[in-house]
Amino acid sequence: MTDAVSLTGVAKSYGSTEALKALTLGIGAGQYVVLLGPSGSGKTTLLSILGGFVEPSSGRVFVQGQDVTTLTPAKRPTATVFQDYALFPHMNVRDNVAFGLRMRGISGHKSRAKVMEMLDLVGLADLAERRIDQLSGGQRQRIALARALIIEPEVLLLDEPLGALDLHLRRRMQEELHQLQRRIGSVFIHVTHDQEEAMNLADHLVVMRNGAIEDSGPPRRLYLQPATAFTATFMGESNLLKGRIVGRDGDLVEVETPLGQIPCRGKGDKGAQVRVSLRPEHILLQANGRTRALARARVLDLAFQGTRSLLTVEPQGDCEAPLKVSGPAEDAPPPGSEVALFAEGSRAVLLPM
Amino acid sequence: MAPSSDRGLLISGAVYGSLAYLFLFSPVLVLLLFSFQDGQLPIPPLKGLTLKWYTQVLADADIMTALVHSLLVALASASLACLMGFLAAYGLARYRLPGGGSLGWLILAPATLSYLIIGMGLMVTFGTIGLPRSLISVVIGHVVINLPIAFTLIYSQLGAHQLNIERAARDLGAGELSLLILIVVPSLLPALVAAFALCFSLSWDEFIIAFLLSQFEVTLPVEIWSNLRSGLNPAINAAGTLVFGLSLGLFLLALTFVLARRGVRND
Repeated sequence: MTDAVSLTGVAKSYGSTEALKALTLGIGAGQYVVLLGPSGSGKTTLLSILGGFVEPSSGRVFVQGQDVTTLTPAKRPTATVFQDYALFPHMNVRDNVAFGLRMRGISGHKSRAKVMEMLDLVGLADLAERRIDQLSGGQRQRIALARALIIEPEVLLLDEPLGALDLHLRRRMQEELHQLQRRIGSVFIHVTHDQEEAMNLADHLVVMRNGAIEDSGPPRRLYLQPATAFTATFMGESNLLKGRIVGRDGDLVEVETPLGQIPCRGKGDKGAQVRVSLRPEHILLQANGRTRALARARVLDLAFQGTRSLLTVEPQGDCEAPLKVSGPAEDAPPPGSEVALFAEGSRAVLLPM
Repeated sequence: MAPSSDRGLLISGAVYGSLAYLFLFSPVLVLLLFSFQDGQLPIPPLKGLTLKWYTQVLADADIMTALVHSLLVALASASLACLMGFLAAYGLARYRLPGGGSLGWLILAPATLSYLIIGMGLMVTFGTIGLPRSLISVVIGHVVINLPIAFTLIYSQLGAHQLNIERAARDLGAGELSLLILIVVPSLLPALVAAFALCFSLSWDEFIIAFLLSQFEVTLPVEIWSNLRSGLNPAINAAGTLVFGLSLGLFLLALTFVLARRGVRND
């Protein structure tokens, strides 16, 4: 089966600056894909190449098996939702949404029915006659979606679509985007630098850094089994420890770290210098049947986070930096107190040095 | 109640503000007031109010001809400046041209020259190439001074947001012609109208270039100037007031469009 979207060796340079370094990526049908990365990671350049607004310096872009590398945006089976929505300021909502149909020579009753269908889809059917400057940010976002979806694109490209919205609205729009994608079934490719948004939405998550793909896969895998230290720290909090492999136990390797010996998932040769990623929620303050005792530590700081609290602790031994440890919301050990640390069995991840 | 130091500040601010505005507007107010002078001289004391000078101005064939000339010159030069300014701004904003940055500066350069220098330069140039001094040469002169203004106003609206609007239209299937007619010009309309109104009003009351580059057919400011040489006369005040009134109207129109545009942006 051909991928819905595939990129082979796509690179882009501006003068001597490499914005993208020979990316290869395949995206299956009906997936919600999120491109996640800090600014300057090349994620927006990649989206612009998919949309046809930027021509790659080399490589090919395929949509449904068709080579679209040299096609103009108009000729591609893609549509883009821009970060600033880019609604036409001189047209009302209806004319904005109808624009794609108008360019295809569809007008009159057929166009009006389709526009209403799209406005219904985004829940704004009663705003058809409004001017754009009378809409709120969230409403503009939905109109931009309706305007792009009316041409029934195989692939919808979303460039930081929720960046301009406040947190509450952003959460709601995340849900709506997810439901919308499930209902329509086309591929959504969504660019963001917000890792929480990325994990909420993605079927397939692509982490980008310095113009290259750092890691790519289902969010659950990326979170629990990150391939690199960058992914481990960019996707949520993570403690990175230096260590040395001292033994193997089935699928796990034993790593000697400043905190003690920790069983890790991953492969490596005995004696190799490695790094270990240990998430705050995988360091426990109490032992249970599956834990491994680590060094004791002194609590430096305590931040209340609602359902949990986040402790900053300084372990005994020569650890490079303080650790982040997740604690209970109630009765967390106060700053200054001493705690025992335990690693939850086989949650630590082995990373290359 | 505000502390006394605050009140002192408020009062001195109000006094200063009033004086500043008085300084700005007293010439216009004097002009306006003595255009209604019921006497032969537009100087104090004010002997009474009459509309007879306006009647006389409106019945004066030379002044009325000059007024039509001024309107034609302003219309032509503002239209040309806006068309050329739009083309230059769009080209420089959307395409990478060799030396693109300096090309933009070169368009702005005439704005740094005094009208006198531009007028003399053009007079010499036209004399050399054998173009007679006429309303056409005045139009060319006014395009020279208006193009930097039109270019700047339009260029400032062609930033990232406008670029995305154009990309969105292309993405949805718009070809070059429908992009221009349905998206670019209408979405830039506020800037285009503002630029046109400003250029029109600057051309409408421009004197030096019009004086240097015209000969038999003259514009209104030049006609007023030649009337002035035969002595002061409230009719000239009336003509001046008419010129000022139209300029003010256009300026306010331009301001409304610029502010309306900004309002949308800030939302």
